[in-house]
Amino acid sequence: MRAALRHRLGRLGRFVWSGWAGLAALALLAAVWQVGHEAYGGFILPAPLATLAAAANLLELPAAWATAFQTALRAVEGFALAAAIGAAAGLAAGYSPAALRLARPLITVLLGVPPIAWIVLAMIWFGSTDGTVITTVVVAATPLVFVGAAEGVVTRDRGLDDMARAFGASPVARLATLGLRHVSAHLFPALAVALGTAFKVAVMAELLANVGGVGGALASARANLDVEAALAWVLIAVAALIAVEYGLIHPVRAELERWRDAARPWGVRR
Amino acid sequence: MGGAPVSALSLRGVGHAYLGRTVIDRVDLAVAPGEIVALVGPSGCGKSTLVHLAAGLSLPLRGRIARGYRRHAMVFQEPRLLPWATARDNIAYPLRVAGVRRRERRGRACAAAARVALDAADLDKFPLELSGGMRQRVAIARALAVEPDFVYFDEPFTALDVALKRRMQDLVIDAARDARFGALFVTHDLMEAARIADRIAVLDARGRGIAGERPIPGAPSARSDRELFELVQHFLHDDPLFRDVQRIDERRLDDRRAA
Repeated sequence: MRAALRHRLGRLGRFVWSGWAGLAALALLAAVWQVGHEAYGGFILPAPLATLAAAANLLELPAAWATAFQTALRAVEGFALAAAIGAAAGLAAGYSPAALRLARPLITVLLGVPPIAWIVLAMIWFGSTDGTVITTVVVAATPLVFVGAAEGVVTRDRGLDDMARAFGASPVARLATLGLRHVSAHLFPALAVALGTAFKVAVMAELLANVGGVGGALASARANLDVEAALAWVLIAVAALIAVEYGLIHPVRAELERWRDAARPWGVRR
Repeated sequence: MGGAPVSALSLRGVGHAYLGRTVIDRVDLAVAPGEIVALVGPSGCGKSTLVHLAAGLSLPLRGRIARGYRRHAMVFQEPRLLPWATARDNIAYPLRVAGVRRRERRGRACAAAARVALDAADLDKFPLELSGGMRQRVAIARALAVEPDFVYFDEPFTALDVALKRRMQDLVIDAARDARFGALFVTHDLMEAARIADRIAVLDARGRGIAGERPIPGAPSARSDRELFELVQHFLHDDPLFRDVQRIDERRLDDRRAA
């Protein structure tokens, strides 16, 4: 028990320690940004520190929090719908080769249509409402989740399935103990990408449909030629995404992939 | 529900085909309770298919299979362990499927691990961290954990080197003696068959029924290496039943099938 706890603390420590590398990368980005600022001036590209200060100022206003929350809520609603539909359809298609063969070209078509075209359609159908944003997010994110889930089912180890059957496992038990466990390894990266897509598409849809949120704030910053505010909003959106990705998705994935890490020698772990 | 069946396993007129090509046909075989029967035959003659049919992993096209045992287990050629679960959880997997409580599962998994001489320290490792022999040990422990009275072995030690193979065979011999399970042991290694089994059944080179059977005298644990060596030499050189067993390779067999 104590060994397990120590092991877990060690992994947590390594995870936090790896944050230095991320900080170093961000500092490099800030340095390049600063060079751009000094070359082109504060009107074209405000300094990183000034942008940070602008973002901090924004976040002192309750209205700004409400705006960010509105966008986050739309993105997460769309993402949840996309995850549910994509995972269910992907599982079904993975287990039924005929359905998968039918679904593949449809996915290509869906992914081929640019999100901007969906925004236009959704605006015609739903007007300037939440529905426009959520529909666009669902359409953009569902195929990613679907492909992840279907891929997971298709690449499952049939030998393990036979083994479980030899020990008398029912189809439901096999799905619960083998199928879902294997699919989750493929599904989680897909969900991470889908979540990122959901935030980006939500902001874009808000900007074009003029329905408030971070996209709406960006639109007004553009109208006022307020580059500092625009960059501050981008910073806030990216920060929110990073928080979700490293706070939720990475820990869960690390837990699922613990066995892969186990065989790696010291020094190669990351 | 009639009286208790005489055989732990009985196959009558069993036949199977893949995509219209007959793989095995007219196989009759009976295994008594507590008896270990080795099924030998050249590669590609349908031994694996037969053991999969017997274990219920696929349904036979023809014939009847009667299972008189209480609970079976299976050891495959590859260990077939869940890569994401520790050795302990792998051993306990069939118990989990059977709905055994977590605490009891743990105890029974440890007991099964002890019977195949797995170190307690190795039980918390993942399959990736274990050597090939250790993985197969875990697979055997997994089979023993369900306390079966019949075990199917599908060429379990083919991928191991000679020394490791012998230790695994001793493990199976000891476990069978202590737990008194019957077994159908598929192999193409006559020496392995002679060490482990009470009886050797030879599958016809083209899967057309059982070509013949030979009993092995004495209890498996009491046979000396010298006796076994002489017996296998006798089988290979003087007994026409074993003429094909170690000679035919898969390609030539396919040619013969196509002809």
